[in-house]
Amino acid sequence: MMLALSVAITVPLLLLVLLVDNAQTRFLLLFFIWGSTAGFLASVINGELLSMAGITLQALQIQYAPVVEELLKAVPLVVLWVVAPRYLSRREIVFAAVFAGFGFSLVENFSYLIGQQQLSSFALTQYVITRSVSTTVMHGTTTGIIGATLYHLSGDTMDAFGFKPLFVLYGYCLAVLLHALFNIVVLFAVLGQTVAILSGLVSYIVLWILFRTRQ
Amino acid sequence: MLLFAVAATATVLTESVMLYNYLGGQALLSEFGFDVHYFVMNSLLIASTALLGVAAYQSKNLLLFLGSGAVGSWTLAHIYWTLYVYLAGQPISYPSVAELGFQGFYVLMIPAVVFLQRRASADQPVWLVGAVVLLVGGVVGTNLMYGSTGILFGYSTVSATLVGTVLLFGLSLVVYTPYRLIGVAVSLFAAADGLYIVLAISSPVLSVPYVDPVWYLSATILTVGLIGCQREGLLE
Repeated sequence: MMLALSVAITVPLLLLVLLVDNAQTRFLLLFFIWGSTAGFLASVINGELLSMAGITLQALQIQYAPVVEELLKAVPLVVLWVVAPRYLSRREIVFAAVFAGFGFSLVENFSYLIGQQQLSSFALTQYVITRSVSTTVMHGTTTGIIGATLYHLSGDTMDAFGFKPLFVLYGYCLAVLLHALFNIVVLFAVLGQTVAILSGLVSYIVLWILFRTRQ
Repeated sequence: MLLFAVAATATVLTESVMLYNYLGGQALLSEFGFDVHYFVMNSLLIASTALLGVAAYQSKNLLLFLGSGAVGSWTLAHIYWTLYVYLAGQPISYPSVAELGFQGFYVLMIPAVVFLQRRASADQPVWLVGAVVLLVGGVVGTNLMYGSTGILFGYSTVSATLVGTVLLFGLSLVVYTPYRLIGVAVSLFAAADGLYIVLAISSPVLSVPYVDPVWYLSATILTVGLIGCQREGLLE
């Protein structure tokens, strides 16, 4: 199911990439495509962890999945860091990272949606809206943190401190921790979901202000 | 300073209550006592992060920014840890995903303390690099001796190296540089985390309420130290 979902999103977008002239748009679309592919890969790895490592679903959600998912979403960023670091000095890299997070979340949202077919049309819409303003923003924010870390490291601001790989590690640790924190908050019944939605909206507003005021 | 005063008062009160209960043969803290304790701890950690963040934003000082990020990472990890205790009714097993946040403190503090050490002293103490190398050797040797394998070996080696490096550089800041308060804070922080790692290896599911005040007290000392040094122009 996840493979079919991932392909259904990836193939039209890949065709779109070939049609688009603007290099920046192509760049962002490619990150989005990677995000949706990572969504499929994460579901496979998480599934293996559940069946082979013998961990519970709750342990997967609040401990292991954030480690796997943040790593997968950040793969193109790490590749650029190693292969073509000049791309990291462009501000679009932060947007691109957010795009990868959103692409990931799209596949994940669809898979949850398919699993909730017993719900009424209204309840389903409510469910999708809830996930869209909370989980999607969380995925975009966490990958965006890694992108922003690499962007700031690409300049000379942090040169005086050295230890650049440690800052990259910190960005990843922070992304995983925020993801895990979000997942554990959601488990706290009604209050948890309210906090999750509010944190999603606040994160989005902060991101919006940061991007707009620095243009 | 107000933040430090609140943290010091909370430390004295919490440790006194725990000592009283311990001598009376009771649990260190009641259920309500734990609620208050975690509330105070997380509030002080959040306040430290926020103060450092605001100071960093106003002064555009990267060291303050690193301090805020470091304490913030530890704070987020502790909030996660607290939520897990309330969700599952017991502390999370060591090592957990929270360790990424706890170690995030050291990942950012290593560049900061090395930078301060380099900046303050032309003559770097000879024992420092040797002590760090000995520490790494000691951790690997101990793990080999106890037959630790896999995740525990890897994790305890990495975390002990990070914590130990910050502890040694912190002590060096206390002895050889004008950044004494910062050195005291990071050394206390690292000593508490080192103790926790040692205890957690033998008993992976544990809480250490008697150590908790050291963390929030040293976070406030770090806040006071960094902001104080920045105001005196020592971080420019």
